[in-house]
Amino acid sequence: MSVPEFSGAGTTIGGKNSRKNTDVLSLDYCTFRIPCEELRVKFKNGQKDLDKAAANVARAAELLTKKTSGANQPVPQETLRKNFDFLLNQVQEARKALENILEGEIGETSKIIQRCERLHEEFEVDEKTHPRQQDKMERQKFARYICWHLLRCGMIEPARELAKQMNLESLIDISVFEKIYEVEQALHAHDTKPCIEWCQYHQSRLRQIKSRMEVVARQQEIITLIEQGNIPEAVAYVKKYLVPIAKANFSDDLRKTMGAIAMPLVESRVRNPDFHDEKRYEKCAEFFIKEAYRLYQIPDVSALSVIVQMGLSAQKTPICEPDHKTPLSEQTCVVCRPDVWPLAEGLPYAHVDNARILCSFNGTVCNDDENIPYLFPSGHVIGLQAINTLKRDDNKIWDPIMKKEIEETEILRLYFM
Amino acid sequence: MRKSQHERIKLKLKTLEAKTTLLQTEFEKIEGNSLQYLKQIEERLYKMRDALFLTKERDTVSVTGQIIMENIAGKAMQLTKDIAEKHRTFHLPVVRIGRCVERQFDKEILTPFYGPLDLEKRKKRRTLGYSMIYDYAMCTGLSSVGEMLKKYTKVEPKYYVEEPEILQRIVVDLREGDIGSSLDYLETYQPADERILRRSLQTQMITDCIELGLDSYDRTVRQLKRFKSPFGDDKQRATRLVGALLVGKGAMEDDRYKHLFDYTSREKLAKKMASFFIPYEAPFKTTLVLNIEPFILKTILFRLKYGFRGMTEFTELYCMGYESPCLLDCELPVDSFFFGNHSVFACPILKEQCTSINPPMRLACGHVISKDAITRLSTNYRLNRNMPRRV
Repeated sequence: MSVPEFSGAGTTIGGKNSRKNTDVLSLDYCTFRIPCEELRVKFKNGQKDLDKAAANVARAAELLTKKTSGANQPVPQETLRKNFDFLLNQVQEARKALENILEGEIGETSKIIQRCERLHEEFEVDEKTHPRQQDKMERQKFARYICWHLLRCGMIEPARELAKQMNLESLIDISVFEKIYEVEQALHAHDTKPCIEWCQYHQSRLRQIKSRMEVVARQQEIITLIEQGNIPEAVAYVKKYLVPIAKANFSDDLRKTMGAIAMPLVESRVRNPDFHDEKRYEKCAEFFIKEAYRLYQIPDVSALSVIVQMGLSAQKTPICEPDHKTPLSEQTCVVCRPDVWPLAEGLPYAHVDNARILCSFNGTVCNDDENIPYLFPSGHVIGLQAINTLKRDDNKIWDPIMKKEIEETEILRLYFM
Repeated sequence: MRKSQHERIKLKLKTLEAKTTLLQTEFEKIEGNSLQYLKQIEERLYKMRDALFLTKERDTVSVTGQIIMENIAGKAMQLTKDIAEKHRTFHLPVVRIGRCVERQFDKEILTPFYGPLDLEKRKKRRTLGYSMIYDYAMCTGLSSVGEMLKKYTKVEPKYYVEEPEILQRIVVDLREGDIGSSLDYLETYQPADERILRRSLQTQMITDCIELGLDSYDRTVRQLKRFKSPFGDDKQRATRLVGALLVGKGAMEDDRYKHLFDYTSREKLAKKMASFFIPYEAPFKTTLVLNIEPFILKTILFRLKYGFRGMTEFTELYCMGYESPCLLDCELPVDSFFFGNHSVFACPILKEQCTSINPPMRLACGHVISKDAITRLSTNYRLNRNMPRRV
């Protein structure tokens, strides 16, 4: 079996250009990455809101000050009332905005701190020092990986229930995935509004990662208008929404969309089959998931998949193959189960330094002390314990494989180094 | 000196925690100072409105009123501006936290595999993944999760756990040290390993009683009285347990009794009990049902556990400078957690695992080496000068 060269799984860790040491914490990357991203978004949007609030308050204050500056005599209430109320209103808005911003930011920082503490606690516990807690911690850890996996699969409610049962709410960002899933479902239902709202919320980050998501979502709206024959509205839509976001970086998309508007529908269908594809919303939903993962930097593979792979590998031997003959109730190797085999097929075998030979008759491990291995004429290895039960009179032994009696001299002692 | 993996991880977590705490303190400072000040201004504005505009006594605003109004407007303007400016200064700490996560935590999970296992996209595999999670949930006392998964993912009926309520009770009870429900089940259904299981359950209960003290004593006595003794043919164990009970907590450190205390045994027992409820069609059944005879010694709990340990060992290996291609002739680079269910033979000469193409061969002396090794030896040199060159 030829083995493709290992690429280092997209990282230089431990390699020639290594800058850092890798560890098992990489399984928990999204546990920290998502709140960090949320903090960043909340900070950016918050800053915008604060700037806006400060500008509004300044404007209101200036308007009021204009009327009151150099006051030397009383003025009628009506003259100042409107400006005063405007200032009060703006201060109120600023206060509310600040409260919301701080609440969101402190919430995210608390999440990160809490997660650090919980994981720290997990790594504090080991089999030697806290044997009783080890299982609990392991359960918690695996429940977390399962929860992330379920969220990635769109199983929000089971994931929520699992998080609740295992007290993992503070470690899992269910709301983030819930939102992603909502948008995905809306796209499947040919509704781009939630997607566009999501794009606007994450505007700065999407721009930073040069994502086409909003352009693609807007394109779907335009294509719908084109297919309805509503060309003037399609042009207006392009002018209003597509041009500002696509002009600078996605001019090809803009050109293609304008082309679709300009040419007759039949021709557009021939020239841009992907635009008029029946499954375009499904494709858009798929693209959205990809972009959402890219935005939150969620790894392509879930931690659960990796652990399952590693576990299957640990049990895989060169002898393993899909066993269709043995009934499921008698199968002993999980890797050989026909339903599990597709998962294990491409995985490496477990690394074994010392031979571990099992008796072909009773499955016990052969060793040089109590269960000495012997080679039978059929080529099978059977341990001494089993041979003792197979012994017949006149120095004969029953060969369970060939189903006949053989001479004792026919079996050969084996030595495994 | 090189830090251990756990120490490194703890250090990374502490670094991130420290940075985040610092930023949180700053946010809290704004919350405590600026926000309070803004609230005060707002209150003053309300009071001013009541005093200046909502009074029926006069219909003009005095010069003093106008000066105060101007003053407070200036303050509000300055404060909101300061808050926005102050908030802007947090940009760097926020970015630093993000960078810290990027630097300290690896995005890509480093594995010795060359193709990602798809448990999400392909429908068939996703279903298999769900069924595994369903089994796991049911076996670990999370039946509500299992039931929900059954509802949402349409897990095939062939994977359904029988009598989920009883299983849930058994698992939860065992975790709390109560073996009553398990013994009830064993007495009713009399499965094949009933006696061994009862022996292990009661050993567990007695050792729990020693460990936890008098609180569980009454329960232990009650359950010992209720069920017949499983130690009929294992008098030695019964004697040891009585001895341990007499010695009390000291038995946990005593060489004579230490082996009776197995801290992971509760989970193992729970898994074993769960195996009676999981159908054979479920992939987890094979991992659960294997721990039959000496199940205390030879238990496959979950491949998850082995997987996680494997990942820990693998990343540690990589961290130690393991730079060569990670796949050594299609083998994992770590071996300490191997638990295969077939014979495996690693050639002592070439250190390779034998396959059907390269089978193990017996030499005339009885030693076994791989066919490849024999080929190489016979062409280059002999293993032993006195050894004949035949197999």
